[in-house]
Amino acid sequence: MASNGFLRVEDLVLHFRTGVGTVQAVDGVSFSLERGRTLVIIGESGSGKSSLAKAILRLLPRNVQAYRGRVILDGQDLMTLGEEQFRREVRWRKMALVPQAAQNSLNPVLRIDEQVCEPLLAHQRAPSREAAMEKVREAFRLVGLPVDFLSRYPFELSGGMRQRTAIAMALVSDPSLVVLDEPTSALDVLTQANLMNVFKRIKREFGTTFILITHDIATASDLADDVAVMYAGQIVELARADRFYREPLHPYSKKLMSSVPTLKQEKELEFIPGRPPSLINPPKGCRFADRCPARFDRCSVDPPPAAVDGRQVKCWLYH
Amino acid sequence: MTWLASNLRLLGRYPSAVAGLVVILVLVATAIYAVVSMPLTEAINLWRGGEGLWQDTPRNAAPAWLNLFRREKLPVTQVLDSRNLPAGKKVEDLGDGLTEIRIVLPFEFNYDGFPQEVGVFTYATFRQARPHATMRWVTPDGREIPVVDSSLRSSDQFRLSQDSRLTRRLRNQPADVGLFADPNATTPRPLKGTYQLVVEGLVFEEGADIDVKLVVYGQLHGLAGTDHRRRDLMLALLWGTPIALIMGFVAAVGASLSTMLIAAIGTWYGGWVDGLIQRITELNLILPVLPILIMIGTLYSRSLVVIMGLFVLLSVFSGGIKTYRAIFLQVKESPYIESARSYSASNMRIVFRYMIPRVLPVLIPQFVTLIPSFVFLEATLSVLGLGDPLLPTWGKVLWEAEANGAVFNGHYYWILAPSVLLLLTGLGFSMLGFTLDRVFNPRLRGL
Repeated sequence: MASNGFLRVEDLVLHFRTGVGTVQAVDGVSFSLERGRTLVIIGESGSGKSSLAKAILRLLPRNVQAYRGRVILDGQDLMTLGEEQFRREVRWRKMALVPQAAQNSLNPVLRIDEQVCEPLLAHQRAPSREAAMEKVREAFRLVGLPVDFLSRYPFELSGGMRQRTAIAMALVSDPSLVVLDEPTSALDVLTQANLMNVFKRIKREFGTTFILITHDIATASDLADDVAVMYAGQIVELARADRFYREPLHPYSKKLMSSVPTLKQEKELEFIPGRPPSLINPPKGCRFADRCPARFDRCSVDPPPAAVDGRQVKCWLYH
Repeated sequence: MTWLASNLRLLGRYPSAVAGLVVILVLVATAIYAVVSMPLTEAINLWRGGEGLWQDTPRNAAPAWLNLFRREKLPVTQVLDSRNLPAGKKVEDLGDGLTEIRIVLPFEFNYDGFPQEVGVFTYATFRQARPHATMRWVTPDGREIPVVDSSLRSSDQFRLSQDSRLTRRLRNQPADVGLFADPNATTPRPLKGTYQLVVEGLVFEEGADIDVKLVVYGQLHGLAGTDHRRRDLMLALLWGTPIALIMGFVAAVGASLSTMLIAAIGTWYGGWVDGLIQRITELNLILPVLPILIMIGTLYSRSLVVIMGLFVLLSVFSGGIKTYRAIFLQVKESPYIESARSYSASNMRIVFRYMIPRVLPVLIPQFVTLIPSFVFLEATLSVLGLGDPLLPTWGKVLWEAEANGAVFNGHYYWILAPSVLLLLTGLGFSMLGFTLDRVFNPRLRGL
């Protein structure tokens, strides 16, 4: 992986304060991503995927305890920017987010054209309302929504259409990086496939860089250039997609992949015994050690990432 | 806007909303009529009363339309002014600078009751020598009763009903009975027909003149009757409408909108802003509003603006803040607010475009039902003696009726008219408000 990537995240940490202790939702995550490529972040529920997205976009809740590390986008260190500067210059200018449960992310009292316009107006990105509306129509064509739906209210749209609206909202200001937080999770298979095609087309036509957060490994394979596997707040494996899908290295990735049904192969689906560790006081050593079939002595010490021919694996087996 | 229009169209399906709207429209039309027909200063001036302003109206007269429901018709006031009836005035030069002016004021009296009072007002112009006038009362059956024989000043009032010599001449009946009574009847009964007041005046100078106004005060007057100071109650009822509506509206806007706004801002920013707002609210909730208002009314000013302004101020930080806060806390955590934050909508944008529109459906019906409650409040304060000292309002009418024993004396109209108006206002706005609630909050529709 090229170290001078378009997006570089170094040792990103996001801890939350809760009543029962500190939740280490994102704990020392590093990766880099080249322009125009798509990084798929996969992991189970609660592995810190969405928190990672929030940390990159600096959408922090009130109970943040620790937030540090470096996020370098296009050569600019975003962590040095002030909140207002970040709001003005980065969010929706350089990167946009399609939030989780995007169907519910639409203001129920705004018509959807006004809604999609909102980021432009909030950032004063359009010289006039008409110009903004023109951009909105363009974004609608891009995501494959009929333009005559523009003057409807969110409740008049189907789930898939609302999802497309949310995607249009992320694309309307031409960001170079779009973070998709489980964009297809609540949709039926057909709509999922449709949306994936939309993303592929956008990627092809505009060279937009995507970070796709999902637990749906199969669907994500369609779009993925790079894959990062998250487990308990950390990236345990980072690899090019073709190689990852063919041969995952980390024991967790292996188990994960063998739990995914495939179309052509006849295979027995496996499962991973046990439960992921609590992010409050996670285990000292390797966080997967308890569930790992290949566990050995060194696993009680936290493994540093190992580079195995261009891939990054956080496991003692590869040292 | 189309959202509003379609909701309003939906209102048409509810008869109670239509009825409420009709009531409100009638009230608004009345208010507009009042404002257009008479400027506020004139209304205040008339209501304050004063010399000569209410000369031609009876005291404590019931509304004239009561006659529609009576078999025995009661008289309404008749005013005959020689200045408006030039035909009845004859001027004859007798030479030597002496001029005789003869004025005949005929009028029909076809009622079954006696008038309340009879008054003659004279207006004379002269330089030195005061004119002299004798007046005769001519009844339908031809009797002539001398009523006035006097030299005149520039203006004189002859309250015939209080003239004790005339009363004695009329066999101890006051003029309002004696001048009209049928001499052949055993029980006093007015004689119907044409009466005349014949004035024979003598002026002693060139250019001197006499004019006479006869007022036969009825027992009924106008649409609303009159009060103890001869003031036409219609004035207060009419002008009370715009005052009540404007005040109710302004106070409701002040109390509900600002309450919601403050709640929204407090909830959104949270932290010490919210804390401060909540503490102020809690403090304000335990303050007794009415005693404070009475204190201000007694010690400082009873002007409507001061009292209502104070009340609105006190009600801004009221329980409503807690209610709205509860709703806003829920709205604040909705995904769409979070997504708005993610695309960097500014704080104010989120408050005004994302949070407040969510609560408007709750606010609008509440706002509409709040209007009459402020109108009632003004009436309440007036009845407690805290009404505005100058403005004619419904509450003031009620207060004066109460202070002058309207119920005790049987002047029901005096109390009923303002009460009915207050009730109508409440009814109209409530019917509309409750229906709006159903339209804007569809979950209630099935109930």
